[in-house]
Amino acid sequence: MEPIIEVENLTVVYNLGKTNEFTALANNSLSIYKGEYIIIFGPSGCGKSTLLYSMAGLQKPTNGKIKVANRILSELSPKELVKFHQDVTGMIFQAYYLIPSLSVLDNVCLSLIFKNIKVKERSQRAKELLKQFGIEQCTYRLPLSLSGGQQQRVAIVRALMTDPPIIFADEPVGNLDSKSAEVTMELLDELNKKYNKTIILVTHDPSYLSKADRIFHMRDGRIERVAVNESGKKIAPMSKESPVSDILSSLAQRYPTSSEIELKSKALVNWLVTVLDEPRIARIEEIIKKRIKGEYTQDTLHENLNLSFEKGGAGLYAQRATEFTKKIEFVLMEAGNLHKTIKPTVSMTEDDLKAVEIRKTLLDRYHGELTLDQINRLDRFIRLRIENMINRAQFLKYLDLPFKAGGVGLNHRTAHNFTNLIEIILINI
Amino acid sequence: MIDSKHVILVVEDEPSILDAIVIKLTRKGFVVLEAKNGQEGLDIALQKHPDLILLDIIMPIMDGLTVIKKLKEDEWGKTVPVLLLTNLSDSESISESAKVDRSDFLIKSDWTLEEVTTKINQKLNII
Repeated sequence: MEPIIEVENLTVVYNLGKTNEFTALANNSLSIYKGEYIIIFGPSGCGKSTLLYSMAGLQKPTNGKIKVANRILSELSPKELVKFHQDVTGMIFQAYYLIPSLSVLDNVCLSLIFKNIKVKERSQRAKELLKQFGIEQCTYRLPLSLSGGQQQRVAIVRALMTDPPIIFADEPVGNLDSKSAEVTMELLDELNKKYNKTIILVTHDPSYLSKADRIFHMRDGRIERVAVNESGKKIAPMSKESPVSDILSSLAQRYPTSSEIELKSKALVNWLVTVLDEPRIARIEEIIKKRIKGEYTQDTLHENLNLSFEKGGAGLYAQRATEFTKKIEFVLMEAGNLHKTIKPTVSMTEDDLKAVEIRKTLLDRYHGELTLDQINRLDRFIRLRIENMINRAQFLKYLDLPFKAGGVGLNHRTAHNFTNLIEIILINI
Repeated sequence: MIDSKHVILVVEDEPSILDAIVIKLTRKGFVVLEAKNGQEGLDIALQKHPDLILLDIIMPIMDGLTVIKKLKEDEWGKTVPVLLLTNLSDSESISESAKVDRSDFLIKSDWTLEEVTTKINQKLNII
């Protein structure tokens, strides 16, 4: 399936060449597919709105290419760009931007006026939509006489008048009370699920993240990571380069403002830890974060895990500190080995080789014996997991399933251990 | 660990099985040659004269039974020990047509790597 939006190496620099030059977006690439509900999430100033407006054709890139609905935006003439906005995009802004001197009806009909649609036809369409969104009683009123929630609903109707396939929404509920915000978000949800509109929404509020199919987490002008909502629609093909770890996705939903390194650290701690108190867990996370970043060596890692809590360490007994260090180093080493350049051959692709390496790692820790056919089948499922063709739960199921039923036929405990280990290795690659 | 370096040729088109066997046998101290199809296997066998051949039956370009037939046309090839790997259910008739001892027929779904290694040691009279 071709994406409806493709962004390649997008950079936007404001005030280029001047003393107040500012890079709002730095070399970002992404693909969005028809019918997806995408949320662009991050702190203020991270470039979310710049990215949104760039895709909507309202912000010119400094570098890079943007293709929307088969149109390369930089190649459009001014007239073609207008047509693009009329036919392809619907915009919803935080501040509504309704024209205060025009009635609600005239506000929503504006786009069709410029398309030379006759009065009767555009009025009929407007009234149908206003009714559908529960604000037909506002048809002839001026915008400022409406509540914030009503105004935003008018803005949504305006965005839909030309029946665009893509809706761009920049903090659409930022100015609304919680009830109106809920109604607005439900409307957007309906547009996506019932009318198959592609929704791209910018927000800094983590409470809405569960609405999206995918979330682009941004920080400092870059898309830091892309999280897949496990309960969302799976329209986008899974990335071959970075398999989505279910552990990382579910952690990202619980800690949406955490960076990727913080999430990896949490995942490692969860894997290691049985019963530890919260402050100690937080301390271990901090220590592991420094190891992942390379600020600590293996020895410093061990030292700090063992150092007393009062002195800034994790306060683990020496034996436990050694055990944790070994396990952390093992995962990071295996992930590092897999990250090294693996030269694909004619018969074995890079993913094949990764699967073989991971299988070797798993079997080295497994003292049982698998038959040749079990090894072959295990490789196949590992490759499917690396390529994200199966998720974590499916991988576990296949490892556990008897061989004759199409699985690998591992015992239940080994299947669980293998699954957890492969997930931890994959998120650290 | 084996003191003398016996040379084993593994002829197998499934990359994961080939890789697993090669790694296992190398760790056990064998010198391991590998081939991904029957033709390649035959060429390496006639050139390098390994001490034993571990040979898959179903392979592209040249299948295992044809490899055995062609090996038997060579003086050295008539005597080299061969262990056959297969998933074929009709192993009895195949071992008969290949003129291979039934016990040298290893069904992939039954044999573990360790058992394959033990079988190789037995075949080469290695203790």
